[in-house]
Amino acid sequence: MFSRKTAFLIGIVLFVATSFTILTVSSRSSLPDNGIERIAISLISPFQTVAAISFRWCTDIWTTYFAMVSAAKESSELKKELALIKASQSRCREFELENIRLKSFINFDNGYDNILIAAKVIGRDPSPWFKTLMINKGGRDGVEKGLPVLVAEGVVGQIVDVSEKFSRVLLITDSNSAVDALVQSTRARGIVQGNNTDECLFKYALRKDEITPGDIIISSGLDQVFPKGLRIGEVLDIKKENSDLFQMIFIKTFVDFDKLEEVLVASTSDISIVDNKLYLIEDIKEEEKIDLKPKEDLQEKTFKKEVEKKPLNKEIVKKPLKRSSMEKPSRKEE
Amino acid sequence: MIKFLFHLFLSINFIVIQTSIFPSFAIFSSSFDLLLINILFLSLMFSHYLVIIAVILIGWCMDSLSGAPLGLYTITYLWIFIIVQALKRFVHRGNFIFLPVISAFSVMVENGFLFFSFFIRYGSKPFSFQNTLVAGEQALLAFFIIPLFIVVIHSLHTICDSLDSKGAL
Repeated sequence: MFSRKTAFLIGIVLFVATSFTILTVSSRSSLPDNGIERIAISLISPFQTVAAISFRWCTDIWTTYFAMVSAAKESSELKKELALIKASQSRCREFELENIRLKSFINFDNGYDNILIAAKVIGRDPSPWFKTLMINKGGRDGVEKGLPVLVAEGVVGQIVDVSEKFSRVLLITDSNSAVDALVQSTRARGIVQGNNTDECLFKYALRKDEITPGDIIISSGLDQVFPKGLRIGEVLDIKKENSDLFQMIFIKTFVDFDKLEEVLVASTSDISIVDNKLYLIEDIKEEEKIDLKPKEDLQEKTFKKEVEKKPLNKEIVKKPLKRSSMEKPSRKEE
Repeated sequence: MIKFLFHLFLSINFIVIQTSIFPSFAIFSSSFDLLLINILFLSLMFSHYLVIIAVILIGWCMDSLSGAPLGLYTITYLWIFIIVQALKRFVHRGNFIFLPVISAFSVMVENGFLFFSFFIRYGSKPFSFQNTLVAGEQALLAFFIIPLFIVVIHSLHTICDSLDSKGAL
């Protein structure tokens, strides 16, 4: 009926028409589910499930592995960071504590006109028989032998040895130390002497003096070393021997010598340092016409000291101080 | 028998990879239809009427698993089969240009049908630059990748053929 070519062409046209009809119909509306689809799904789904599970398993292993590698790296970095932070935290804590201590120094008003030189404790006596400290300020900084060493809590000791950059402080707890002192409440006099322990002895207080535990012992200022009124300690115990003229009093110092980190050396008022040389402040005052108030606070003093240290501000004649005059610090007497 | 199992295994693998594994990777989001490799291979290698059944079965599976309009894959695969059979008369199937061109063309045919169904359903909306770009990328990928796959499958098929002739199964 039809030639082969015509049949082929008819077939093609029919196929094209069928294709586009099916596509048009199925595109316009979703055809209802039929069994054939379900068969295909149920045939392929098990393979898909296995593949999905296997793939997920591989992905999990891969992810876990990378997570672990990443975690290990991160852990190592975090450990380093933590170490740095701990070090930083410790340093901050130290600064904070130092700040608190230095603030107490700034607020420390001992009614003493002299320049206070702040120094750091850099060493302690290696021998248990002596109670001394090494500080990082020496002759170059204006420290002299015999100067009192203080902290906000009270008396620390006395400079006994001076080098250019360092000094040795004899603590009041050393048995070689003696401080003329008073009982604050009764004004009973005596000598505070160290006994190489944390406690000191308040000696030569007369038996008649009424002293009770808890009384505050202060410096009398009569020893020409420690200014009057500095707190030394409080009475712990009192012993009165029948035959003795004096009573033996044990006192607990206010200063915790084991925890000392910074101290103040009460320098004589008439000494300053310019260009690493010692000069009389009075000479500078005369040259610079600086009006030093009789009683200025520590900040002003420190500032003034800093100003004095700056060579640019000093167009003045500075007379180097002779050593002999340095060893005789002028001191106001109480 | 081995050849049949090989093609069954190949088709299932392609379906599974296409439906379960590729969607997990963003890089394969614009990948072409992997079943086209198998369809092209079957069309290029065989002219037997059984191949038409195989093509329809593969298309039916894809239609069942896909959300595309019913019959899209079956029709596409049949069209590709017919086109390849027609072209085989004029061009040698081993021609190094024919294989990449027919690969890219197959992808374009499939996308053409897809766009047609979109047009029927949504009007001219789907003909965006983005969709055209994706279709172009797929054709480009197919141009380079499908011939490689076909060569590999041909090698494996030859091995299966030799095993089949030895009566391994």
